Amino acid sequence: MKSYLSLIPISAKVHKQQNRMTLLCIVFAVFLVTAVFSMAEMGVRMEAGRLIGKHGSQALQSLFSSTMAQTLFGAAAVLFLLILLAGVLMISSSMNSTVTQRTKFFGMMRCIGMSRQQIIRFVRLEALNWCKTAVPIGVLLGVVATWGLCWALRFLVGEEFSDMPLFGVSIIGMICGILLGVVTVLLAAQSPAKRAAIDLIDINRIIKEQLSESAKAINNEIRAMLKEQKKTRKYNESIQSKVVYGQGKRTRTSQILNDLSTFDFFESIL
Amino acid sequence: MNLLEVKSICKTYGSGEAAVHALKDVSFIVPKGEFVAVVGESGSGKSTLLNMLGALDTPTSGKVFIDGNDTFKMKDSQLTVFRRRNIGFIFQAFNLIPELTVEQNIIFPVLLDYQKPDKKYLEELLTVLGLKERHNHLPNQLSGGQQQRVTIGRALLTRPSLILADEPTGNLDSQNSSEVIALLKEAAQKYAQTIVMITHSSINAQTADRVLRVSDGMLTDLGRCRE
Repeated sequence: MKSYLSLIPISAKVHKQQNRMTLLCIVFAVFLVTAVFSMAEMGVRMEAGRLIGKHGSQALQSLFSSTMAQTLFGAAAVLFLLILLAGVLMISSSMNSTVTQRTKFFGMMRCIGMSRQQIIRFVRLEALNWCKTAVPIGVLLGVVATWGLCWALRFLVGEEFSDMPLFGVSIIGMICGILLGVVTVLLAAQSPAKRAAIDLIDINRIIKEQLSESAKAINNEIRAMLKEQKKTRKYNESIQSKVVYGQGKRTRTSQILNDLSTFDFFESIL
Repeated sequence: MNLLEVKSICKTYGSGEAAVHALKDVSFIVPKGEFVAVVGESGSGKSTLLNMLGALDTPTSGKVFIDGNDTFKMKDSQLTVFRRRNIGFIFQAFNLIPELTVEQNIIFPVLLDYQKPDKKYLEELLTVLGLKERHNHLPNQLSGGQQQRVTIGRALLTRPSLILADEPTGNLDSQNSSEVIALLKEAAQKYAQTIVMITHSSINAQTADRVLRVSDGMLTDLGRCRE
């Protein structure tokens, strides 16, 4: 471990399950954009190929393909923005929920001495870390989907689509996909990162809440045990006497716990 | 030289009739290298006091000076840096990072400060804490006492001048707890560190140089246990 940021890949491995939703969102957004842009380029290539075959004239072809390209890529750009918006909202909300789940973790980090800036950086890099796996998967899916669509258009629809290139790989599509992945994640991480960078005073509140929560849980457990004891009191007089004659609060509870363990207390919990 | 100086701290929650005075005009000083135990019933304001000392909470009025620095005048970012260099926290809940090994957990605060951990001191700490063979274990593979020793190691590695411990032995059995306290004391003596420790157990309080009692937000100095 060289830097505190080395924690990111380590914890990412452990929290794979919780981050699955966010990963899926990134994959989906990247996939959509790659597919849309690839299809747009395939459309342009097909049109160009058709024009060359028909007229053989370079001038006419370039004129047609440029207007065609403009409309196709214009539509793709609009879709890009829409997917970006949807992606940012989706990823941001799913990240927000994971951050909220880990409030205790970030509070602990602040107690250990992580500054607010460091936490913001931590959350951002954590999100970028997911891109490492999610973006390639998305791009690959996008390319495969394009092949599938091209094949379907060529052989199932036919007619004017019979010039469709079969296994074309669109560089523009891939670049747009990668770009979208990174931009979306950075934009989406903004609000969860701020949320994670808790004020020191808030930490105190969180710690208190947690302590009272755990105290409540323990109290409930003890109450349940006492109830259980009342039922079995007749059969074991010694426990009752220990409870009554215990000195302090602490010793009393610990004695109850000790006694109950002989009472198959674990079995009752499990 | 006084390391810690607390000047008439008050803390009030709520206002008007519903006001709760958690701390009422608490003042005390702790010289460098002293081991102070704070005792009192639950709800008496001990933890509030400790949180104020560690700047985890702000008082309604009053001041805290650590090594001559007024902690409540610092900005959040300054305070974070000050805290990670000068104050070591040991909590009742162990607060270890479950994904990291013992060694990584201990050096983490040093990494947050963009420093290189002192390898020699780390080795020494691991030996003293009896964690040398377990330095590659994850926290959940350790017993409660061992986990608490890891947090002590974490609090000590940065060589803070002040160590704040909130019932460090709260959920340990008596043998583990006296071991932990002895370690803490030994380390603090070796490196001239000041310790303020909240404790429930009178046995632990007896090992301290001085005992402070908090009841209903008022602080009384019970004086030195032994000379």
